[in-house]
Amino acid sequence: MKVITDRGNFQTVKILIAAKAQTAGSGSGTDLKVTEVKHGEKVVPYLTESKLPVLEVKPEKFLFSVNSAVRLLLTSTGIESDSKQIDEWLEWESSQLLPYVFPVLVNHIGHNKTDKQSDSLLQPLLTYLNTSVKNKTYLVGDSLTSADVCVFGTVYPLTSTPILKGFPELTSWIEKLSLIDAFKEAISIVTQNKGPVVFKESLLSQPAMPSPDSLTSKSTSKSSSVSS
Amino acid sequence: MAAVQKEFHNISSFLGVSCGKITQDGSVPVLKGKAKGYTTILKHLTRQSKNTSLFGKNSEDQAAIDQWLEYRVVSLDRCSTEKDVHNRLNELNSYLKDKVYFVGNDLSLADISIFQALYNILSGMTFYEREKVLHLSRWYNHLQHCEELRQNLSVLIFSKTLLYY
Repeated sequence: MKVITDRGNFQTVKILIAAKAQTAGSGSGTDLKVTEVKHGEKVVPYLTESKLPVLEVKPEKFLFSVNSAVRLLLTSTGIESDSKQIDEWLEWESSQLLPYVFPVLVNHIGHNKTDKQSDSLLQPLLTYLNTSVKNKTYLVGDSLTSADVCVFGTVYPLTSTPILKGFPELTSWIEKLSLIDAFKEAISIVTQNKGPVVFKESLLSQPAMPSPDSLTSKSTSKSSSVSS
Repeated sequence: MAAVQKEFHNISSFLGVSCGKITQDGSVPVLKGKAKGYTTILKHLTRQSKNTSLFGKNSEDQAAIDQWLEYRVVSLDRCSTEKDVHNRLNELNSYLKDKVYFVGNDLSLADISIFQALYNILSGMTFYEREKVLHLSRWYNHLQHCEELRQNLSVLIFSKTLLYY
């Protein structure tokens, strides 16, 4: 298996954590190679926009959903099994959390500015997460699952922004997980120990992510100007 | 709101399970006390039905099916412009070029979910437009002939000259 990614892609942390946790759990693990491509490169032939990172499971067989890739890595060695709670966290992460975190990171890390609107849209989700992780290390059960890996991977870069102020439980959860070897190693590979500034180029090269309210707000959003 | 309820009603009938009342929290469907989120509810109902083959036969297929379920929610259902719709249809068309089903050689949740999502889009298109996404149309046409899957959705007519071979 192979991960194909551009340099400093914050979502790649998820896949690397899963690969490292898998190795730690089974003793053997899959040999996961990392191949670096240019920012914005199109890897999956049938997709119209660039989608990175992707996991090449077999030659020409791609998983472009990072969460599905994480789950594959963790289930194939029996670290986790099928669970409704994991389904729910992963769906929440991909369909709610990430689409709201992404513009916040683009603003804070990409453009080095604060956008009140994107910050405030994210607040309720952080409030929910802050309550959910209170006095807990793992979101589901009492061991690491892809729910932790996927939620962590998306909120981790927020530690470099002021937005986590006022969410102490969430902040301490992120710190707790950052101490686990698999997390530490994955972060240091992606950030090359230079901190979140390395995410900048990659963030700016990614296509905008449709948000859950894009249907209701389309009359006001820029993207509704179609030229087809 | 009605659309997602109708869809879960159709899918439950197909699975042979009874679906409770579906409500919505913003745009997120909720099966009260059981599951929250479109994919989570769909997988919950499938587990209940014991149609486990719909999850895929190994972890690799399972991951691919999960990926298409996610794609449906975060991408296909969130088209806000004509161009988005156009891009999504072309992606699916190009992916299905050499495939009978989305994942592996059997029907899975990926087919069921995308079939339901595409009904509204394809039913609003002309023959000519459907012909431009030939592989997708072929896949859809094949699935809609399974009556349990189609339930009360009307049969869409595809131009037969190109689809019969």
